[in-house]
Amino acid sequence: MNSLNRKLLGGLAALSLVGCSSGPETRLGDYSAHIEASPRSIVVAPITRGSGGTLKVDRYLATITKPLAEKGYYVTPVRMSAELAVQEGFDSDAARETWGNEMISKFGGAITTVGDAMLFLEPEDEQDIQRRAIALADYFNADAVLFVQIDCWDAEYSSENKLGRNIINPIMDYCSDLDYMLTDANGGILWRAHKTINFSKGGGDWTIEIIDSIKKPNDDEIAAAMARDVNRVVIEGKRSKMKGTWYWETVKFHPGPYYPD
Amino acid sequence: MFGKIIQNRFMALLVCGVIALPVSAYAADKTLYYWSSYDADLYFFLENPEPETEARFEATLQHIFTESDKANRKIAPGLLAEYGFLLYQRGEFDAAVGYFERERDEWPESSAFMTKMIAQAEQVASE
Repeated sequence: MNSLNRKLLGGLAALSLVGCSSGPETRLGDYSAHIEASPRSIVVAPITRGSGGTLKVDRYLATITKPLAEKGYYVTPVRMSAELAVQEGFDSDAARETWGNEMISKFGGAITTVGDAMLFLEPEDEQDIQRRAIALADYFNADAVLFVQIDCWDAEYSSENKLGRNIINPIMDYCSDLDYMLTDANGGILWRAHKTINFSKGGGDWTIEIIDSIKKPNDDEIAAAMARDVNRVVIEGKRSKMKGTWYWETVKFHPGPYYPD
Repeated sequence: MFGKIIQNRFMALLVCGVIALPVSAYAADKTLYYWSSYDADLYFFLENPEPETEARFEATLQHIFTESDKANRKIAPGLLAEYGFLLYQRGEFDAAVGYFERERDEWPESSAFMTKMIAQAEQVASE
């Protein structure tokens, strides 16, 4: 279990003990709170990275809009939201009112710089999650906030060209360790999912679009295709064509107001 | 024999591909919205924010708007605002406001946020 997951579970326990107004306890795979809240709009919090990770995770934002929008939600523009969140440091009037001046230093401390990129550190505890959710929902006027943390996301592969088609051969396991948490505008937890994905040699969904491309894909294109597939699978619960190569249970994300009947 | 089968299959795939290509955006597209290569181009832009990747992302957004309008299809949430924000960051505030307004008109959920961004853009433009 990674550190955020431990913290999230700890946070849930703490919330249930203190009777905080953050909503009912939510178990993995439990959609009841999500259904009851019926959010129309979702803002995606800046992606955070586990302490053991080395990946620049901000690019992962690119993969999240499509599955959420196709599930029928209004999704706040992700690049715009992330940049504004960094600029504003989550400093909003509602959050200030709730948390006072402590909030400002907290959020100031929650941002770090890695290379040229501004990254948000993983939430410290359940109060930190609540603070961020309240500030983000208020600033972007969203009904819900989606937190995503990535702890591992890597692969090794080789590629070759046969008869004009590109074949990708995974060499090493591809793993992706993701924590998802959806909260309401007050930081109450609506839905959670933890996914560890392992990909063994033999191919899978993420190779398909590469193989179908005419030109030889470069490393960036392969990485982007992999990123898209991770989110498509996790959010939509779509299973790989290669049974047995993916190690997670199917997850459903409750449809939003624009999802066709 | 085996080579011929492969060749025939390859040709069949090629022919199908050529026929399917012009209509693939809509005929085979069961998505709510038209996305083109939005996610890939945003990915490249976020990973390497250079003029080239920005231009590619911008061109893709314009293409999505044009094609969606032509097909009388709703533009996916956030994309008009995302484009407006690119313009905003370049100092093209009047044009940015136009896209923020379109996002607000298309998506009532964005109304308060877009109204705030419009006011901000107009204020910066007047300074």
